[in-house]
Amino acid sequence: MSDRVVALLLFGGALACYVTTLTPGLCYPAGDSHELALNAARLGVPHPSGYPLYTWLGFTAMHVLPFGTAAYRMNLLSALAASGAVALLYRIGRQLALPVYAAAAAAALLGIGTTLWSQAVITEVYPANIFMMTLAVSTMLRWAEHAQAGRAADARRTFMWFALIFGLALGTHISTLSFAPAYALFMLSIDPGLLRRPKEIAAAFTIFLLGVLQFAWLPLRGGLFDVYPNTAPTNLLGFYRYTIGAFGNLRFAVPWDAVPLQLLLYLRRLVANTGLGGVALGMLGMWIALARDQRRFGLFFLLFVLNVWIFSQFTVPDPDVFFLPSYVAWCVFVGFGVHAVGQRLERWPAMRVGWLVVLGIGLVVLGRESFVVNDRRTDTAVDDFLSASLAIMPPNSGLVTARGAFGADAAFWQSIYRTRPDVPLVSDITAPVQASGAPYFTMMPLVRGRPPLGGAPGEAPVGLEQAWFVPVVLGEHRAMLSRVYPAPPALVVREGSRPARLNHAFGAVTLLDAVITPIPDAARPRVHVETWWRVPGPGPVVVATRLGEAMLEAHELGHGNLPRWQTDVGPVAQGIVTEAYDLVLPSRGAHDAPLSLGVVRFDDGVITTQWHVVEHAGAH
Amino acid sequence: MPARTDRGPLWWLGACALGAVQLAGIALAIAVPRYLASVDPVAKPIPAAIGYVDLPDDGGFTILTYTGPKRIRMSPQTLVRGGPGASMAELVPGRGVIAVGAEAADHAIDATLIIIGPAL
Repeated sequence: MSDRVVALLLFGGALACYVTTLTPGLCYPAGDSHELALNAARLGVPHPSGYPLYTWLGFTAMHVLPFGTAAYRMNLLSALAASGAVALLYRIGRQLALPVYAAAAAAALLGIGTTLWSQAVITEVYPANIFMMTLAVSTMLRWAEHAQAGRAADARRTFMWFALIFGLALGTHISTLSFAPAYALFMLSIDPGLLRRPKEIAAAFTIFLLGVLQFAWLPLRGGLFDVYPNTAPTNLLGFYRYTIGAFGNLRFAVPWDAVPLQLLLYLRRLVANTGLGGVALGMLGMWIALARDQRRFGLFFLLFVLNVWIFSQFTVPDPDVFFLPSYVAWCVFVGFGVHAVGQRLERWPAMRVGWLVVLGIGLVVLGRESFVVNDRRTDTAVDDFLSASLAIMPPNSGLVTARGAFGADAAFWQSIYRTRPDVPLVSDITAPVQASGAPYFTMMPLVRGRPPLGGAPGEAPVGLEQAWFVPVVLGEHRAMLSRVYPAPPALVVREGSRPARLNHAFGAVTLLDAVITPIPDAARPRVHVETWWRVPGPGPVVVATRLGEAMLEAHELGHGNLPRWQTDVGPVAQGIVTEAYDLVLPSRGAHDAPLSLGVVRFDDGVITTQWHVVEHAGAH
Repeated sequence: MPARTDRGPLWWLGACALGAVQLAGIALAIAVPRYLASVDPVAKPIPAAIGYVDLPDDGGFTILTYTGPKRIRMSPQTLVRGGPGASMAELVPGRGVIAVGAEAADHAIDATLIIIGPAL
């Protein structure tokens, strides 16, 4: 079977896995997805470092791919790019003279690794970045083949291609630049005479700059849209801060005494991606690769070390994705390890077959785990929530979203799906609640009953010191739509105003009654929930809702408003706390499971949730 | 890739670097969990808010309300994510140590940390 066929099979296999588990629309867990999709649609500039190449690829995907919604097409772009990276890793393995089965195992391991898979099913830049990285590495290896074979013209041409790919790759993630020392040292180790050919270096650098020229997109388009909280890259300082100067406060920000912990965390991520067997094979494979060819080993070793060292000291809440290049290098080493074991067993054909079977089983087991963890085909939380939220707002309501990247979900939904054009999206409330009668809503999470609209979290937004924010729609992933009230809404009603039909005690907290009302004409399934609780005081009580065994949401009773109620209105314990909101149900999946309300307890380190079924199966 | 080469200076350089990296990795994997187990993470301030969070095996969840210093009770099952400006750090199912970004951890003081178990 030719290499091309094997690469195609790997590409197709990976694509099938990713498409099967692809998110159908926008998704919450990756906070940047909405913003990346929105800017691809409007040819804008996403958060730093701007990602021009990715933006153009996204725009193209939205207009060329013939499947699904705009958001689905962006997700599909990730799947295609990740599958391409898998095929390219196979090519890299073959360029390193690995046999077909070892190169294929390395590529498959990358493809089923949970981190790449997690990014391949959502809108994110990392699959495209890994595709560009594997393309650059493959091109570099091709250059080395030409250089070592004395094919000067071919080597020169391949060098120019590499320079262009490397420059373009920065438009999928600027951290690619950190690999420059590894490539430079590799080139010098292969062809030290390169230093005596300054014209060739200058030509390559010029072509690299041609690739980098894509960043001219930033000043051209960066001023057209809100790029909050960053300064628009419309002057030299802004451009620097938006590109290589971006996130300077996060780089190498981990204290020295915490670095061992970070590295340990990395090791555990490596195990999660490749399995213990993959780690062992990779460690063995590193020595085999070193023995086979020190220069090529050095390239992958440096790529690995640079990536791990830099990003283990990068303080971001989602560091795993930044380690994807190191997983690429590790999978190459695994390929060497696989080959080494296979070679040892050459004399015993039965054992060699057994080795291949073990290898296959290991990949299937790992792939199955990744499949389960990354299966997002029923994740409709964003679209369900936005559909419900936009549906309940009266005409001409104002919707306050977070600015820039953080409010792009609503902006994407409204501008791409052309929904509720009468609802202006604003990023701040600059005046007291509208006198016209049309209410304000906000999708921002509440901190102590208030959205983070300037000032410290939990403080009242300027001009809205008297306003109350009460959630009226709750969705999965802590999504909430809150309505702004000019006066205290009825959060606490007087004792006796509600018959205690349920009267179910969760320790000191009692659920007096709950009414679940189906909303039959809703575009997506949701129910209206009204609850009445007796609580011992304004202290935090955490309540939750689940459908069958699936948790839908959890929130603090009163959403942080009860302490303020106690101060401004009256004692909470002397009344009944009541909540009323629309609860968004997942539009893909069973809706006929029983709905339960629960109270969460944390006693002496033991976390428990007590549940009580409030609506039986099929009622909604 | 060409056939096996002699052990020249590049081999020794690579072997030293590789040996050092692999030994460091093994030492980390063995020593750090033992060290963490030997200290009381609640009593000891957590460096840069990197640590662990307790999570029950039954997939439940809770909200911890922080009113004091950065003290997070630790256990090795979970991964916390949080973001600047968020009142709550969202716990994502995962294995190993948690790492709360410094800004998020600072923010978690006197705020609420929501922990969602692996059942999600």
